[in-house]
Amino acid sequence: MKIHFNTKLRRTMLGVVGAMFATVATVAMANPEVGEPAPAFSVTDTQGQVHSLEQYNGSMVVLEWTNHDCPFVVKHYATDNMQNLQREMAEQDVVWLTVISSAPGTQGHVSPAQADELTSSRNAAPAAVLLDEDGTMGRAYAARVTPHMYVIDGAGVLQYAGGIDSIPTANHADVERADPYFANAARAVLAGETPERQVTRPYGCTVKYAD
Amino acid sequence: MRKFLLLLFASWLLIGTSLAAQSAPSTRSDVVVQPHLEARLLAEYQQVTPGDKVVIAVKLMPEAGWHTYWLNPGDSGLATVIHWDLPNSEFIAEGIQWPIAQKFNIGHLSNYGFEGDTYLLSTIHIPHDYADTTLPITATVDWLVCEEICIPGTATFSVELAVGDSVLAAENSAEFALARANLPELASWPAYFDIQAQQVTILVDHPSAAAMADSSLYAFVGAGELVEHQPAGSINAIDSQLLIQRQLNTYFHDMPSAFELLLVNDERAVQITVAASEQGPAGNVDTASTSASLAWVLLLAMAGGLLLNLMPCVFPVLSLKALHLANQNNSARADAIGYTLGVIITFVAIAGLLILLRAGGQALGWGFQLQNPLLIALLALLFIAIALNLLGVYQIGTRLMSLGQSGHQQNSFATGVLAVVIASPCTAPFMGVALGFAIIQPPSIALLIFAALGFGMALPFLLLGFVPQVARLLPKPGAWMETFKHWMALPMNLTTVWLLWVFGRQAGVDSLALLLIAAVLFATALWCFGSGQLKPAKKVRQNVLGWLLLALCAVSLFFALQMQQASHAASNSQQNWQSWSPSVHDELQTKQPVFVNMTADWCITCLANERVALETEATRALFTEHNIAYLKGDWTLQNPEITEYLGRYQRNGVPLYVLYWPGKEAQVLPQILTPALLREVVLNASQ
Repeated sequence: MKIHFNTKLRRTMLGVVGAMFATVATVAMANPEVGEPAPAFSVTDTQGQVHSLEQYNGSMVVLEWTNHDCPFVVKHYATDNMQNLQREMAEQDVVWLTVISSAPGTQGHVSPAQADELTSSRNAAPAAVLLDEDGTMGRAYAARVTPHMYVIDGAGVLQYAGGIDSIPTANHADVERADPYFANAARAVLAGETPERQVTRPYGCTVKYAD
Repeated sequence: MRKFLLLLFASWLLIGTSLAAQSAPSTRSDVVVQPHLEARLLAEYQQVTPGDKVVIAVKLMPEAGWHTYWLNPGDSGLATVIHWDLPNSEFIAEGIQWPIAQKFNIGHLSNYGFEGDTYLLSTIHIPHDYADTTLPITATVDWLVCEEICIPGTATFSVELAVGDSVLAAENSAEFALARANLPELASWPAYFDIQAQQVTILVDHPSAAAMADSSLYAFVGAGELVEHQPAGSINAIDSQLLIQRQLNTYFHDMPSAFELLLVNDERAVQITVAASEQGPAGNVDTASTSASLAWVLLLAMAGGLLLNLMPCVFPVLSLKALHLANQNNSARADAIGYTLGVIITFVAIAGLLILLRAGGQALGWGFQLQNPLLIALLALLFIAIALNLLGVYQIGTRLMSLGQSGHQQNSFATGVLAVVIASPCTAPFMGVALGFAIIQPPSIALLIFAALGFGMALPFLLLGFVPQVARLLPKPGAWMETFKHWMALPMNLTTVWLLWVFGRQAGVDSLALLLIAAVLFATALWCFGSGQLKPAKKVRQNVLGWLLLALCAVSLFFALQMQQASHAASNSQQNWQSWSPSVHDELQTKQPVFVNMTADWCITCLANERVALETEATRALFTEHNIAYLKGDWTLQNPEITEYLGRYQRNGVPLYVLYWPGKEAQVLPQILTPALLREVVLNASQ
């Protein structure tokens, strides 16, 4: 009986160690998983402010990877779809962070001033635009394309990763016809529910990482 | 005034364009020039026939270094889409025949697409009743052309073809030849996939597929978000099967029911369709084709049954029957019916038993009844009795000898039963198709097939009974029949030899010797009874002697079967695995380490694990070295005992691998096995 207890105890210990290891591995690994804590980040915005995930503990956070010259991004800004979503989320105190991971010299790379100019000219409403030139944050989230959308709940758990909607085209007219996967997920998280679809196909242009 | 001018201008434009449309038919559209890509439309025929079809090519000419996308673009990008504008809804445009794709790696992502001039062919079916003199075909094409950056494009182009007898468009033939040269071969190799433990396993069951497995082989999966595209995964060819294992895509959501798979190596490019293996390869005999082919299979089964009459194991019994029919013509019909019923009912009964036992998880094949040594031994004795009777050692009159001899209908029935029991081992090799089909069918259809087999087998005798012309072909009874009877003892004896051989193979030479002693005692007993019949004065003494000999025969037979069990158990050890059952499992677990593999025919991952990791020389040696008993449970038909076992490990499906080591807790292995992993687990357990 005693032996049995010891084996059980040992297995439990092993399990705990294993779980800890798995958590570390998830953070280090390329693909974050929904339902797990979202990868930490610490990136400077266009105003020189540093933003980290921890500082938004208690708030819902939306991450939007962007590249203003990508036709798929243009689709959602030219139709005001993205700006409307940004405003809707801002009204509910959601922290919307637009992230640019384009390396210097590649498509979508902008200076802080250019980024701010894009925000005002497009009438966009993110909480901040993060400049992730070296791609550290992008790689931590395995951001593949622009636009690639993520929803993180107030407890820092990743609730959604994927595309902005269901029709993977650059055709502006498709915005209205599509199932708004990201918006549905974000609204569900705001309502305290688990989104119906937590991963969807992220479509768009590949993120132009530094090699 | 201004409005009027505008209207005039508009109508002038309209007339102008319609005039242009009516001008000479054209098989080549204008070239549309857009950023980084030019495109045009080409028709293979300049004149087409209603009811026929025509192939149209969209020719994409991206700048050097730029590419467009395959049906699955990969991690980013967008497949080219064609919208057809055809004269009416009777026209049918088939999907794009995609050329051989290339893989483009961009950082940690991969895309599938085409560089250089790319032809997207589509077949358009022209309705029979199309009456116009010209056929305008318009296509709107949406593409995404990428280098590092991507530019979406769209263009609408038209060709106009004449209607009449088909005439090839000579000006386009070189380009169509080029287009076709760049298409993959289409093959219908059976292929299935499943998803287990974040891994997609694809099985292509064809020797040509297996032959393609070399270092240059890449598998383009035509389903979005099914596999990760960048890692090539693992490719294995074992015997005639190609196994592809790929990591599940991070953004996987919906399980496709089927997808296109493009296999490309340095030698060839082949496109096949891969189906989800939820029902498995067996279930893939879908209901539509079942109903259509059922009649055909029944016919085949009947023909097979007919052929059985020529089998060496059936012939002796039938020769007896024929003899009997020649003897008594008056009750021929009743006899024929009795015999037919006997044959059919026995077939159905054996099949029913087979289905029941298989449902119970026993891995049995047709002819399993002859896997029972006791039955074989008794059959051998029966044939000795029949042969001695034919030779006149003893006379007809006892119940035993009436089998196949007496004129009563129920005895004809008995002959039918006997014929089937003896014939069944011969059916397996000859009836492969019908049997294979029957085993995977719902029980009702399986039984129908076996009934057809029986009917086919009884058919000649039905003819003899019901068509007097056929019966008249048989010779008239007479003195020759005595000689004929003696000769018929020969096939009977040969059958006995065959049965003894089967018994010997199963039970070993020691058991066979004991059975032969039993046979000699049995023959002597029959001789005793026979001589008692001849000399009524000695009848009692001879009968007592006969029964004594029979008792000795029974003792010898008993020991023959006892010996057999020992050698049977010994012969089992040469097999790598044993069938799993709770009792075998419990018994073995007390003595030695046990490895349990729960599998099913339709589980592709299970099969892949067996091929790659379990049934390899290395693992065999590993199991032997550590004296591990390997038990395999077949859940193909959802054996409830296995279902319960799976439930104990919180599983509701296969594969499940569990290693039991004496004194340690059971260890559940991952669902994806490799030889190295198995070795590690066993070595850890043994320490």
